[in-house]
Amino acid sequence: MVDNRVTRTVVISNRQGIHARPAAMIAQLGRRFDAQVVLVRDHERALCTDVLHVLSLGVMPGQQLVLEATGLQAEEAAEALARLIQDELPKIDD
Amino acid sequence: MTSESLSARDFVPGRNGHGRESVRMKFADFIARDAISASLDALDKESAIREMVQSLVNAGKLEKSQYDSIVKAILKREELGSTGIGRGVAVPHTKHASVDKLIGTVAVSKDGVDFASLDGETVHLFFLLVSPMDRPGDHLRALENISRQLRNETFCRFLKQAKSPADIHLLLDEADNNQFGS
Repeated sequence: MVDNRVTRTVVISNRQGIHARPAAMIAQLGRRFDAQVVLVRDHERALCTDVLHVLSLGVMPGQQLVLEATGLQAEEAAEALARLIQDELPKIDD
Repeated sequence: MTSESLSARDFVPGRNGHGRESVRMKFADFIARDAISASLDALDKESAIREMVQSLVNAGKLEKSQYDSIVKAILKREELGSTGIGRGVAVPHTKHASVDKLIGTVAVSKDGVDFASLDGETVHLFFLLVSPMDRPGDHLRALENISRQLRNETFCRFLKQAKSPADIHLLLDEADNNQFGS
């Protein structure tokens, strides 16, 4: 079996980290792909399609996240999520 | 392999034990015990938010004069996107200049509230947060704790079954003492 795992490393660039709105955006985007993406912060892992999972990582500004994607659209999912997390998260929540 | 082949049960929070305990915020750090509700009366989003903010005012944790301003701010935040994050949970919140430390409450709705949640389901479990203007880290830490506990099905079930604020109070204490393994 071919392992098509794709990984990307991103740094959280917005000022407030991954709070409710960014977590919802990540989960919504993740569900669009035929892929499974896991977010890894330090040694803690979370399914990107589950908002509670994403929030439970408690990702702060400037922290590093690793995205691990597998599945038919692993490459597309990893690229899209990396772009969202690195460049497109809301800068200010409230 | 499809995106659904692994379930949430395959990811157990907090078992990695890599030094997060010392900075993790506990419920006791921000939940106003006297504002907890085990039986929210409200049946719609705005009423639910009003009821929870009022409970914080009644508990002496928010200024009565700031009630309308805080409710308005929370509703404005909801316009950016519902804080009904799915699985019957909502985390309505705002920053507000009238508070100098993070304060929150827990409320359980037996009937469920239509909160325009991400998954379309009604909300039964609410964690409402009001943060100072300049402390986003505290807000994030509180969200981290809340979501970490809510990933635990036992915790969620016990919370939904709570018959009194005292039941919820005890549950939060147990969660703070890691009795749910979260």
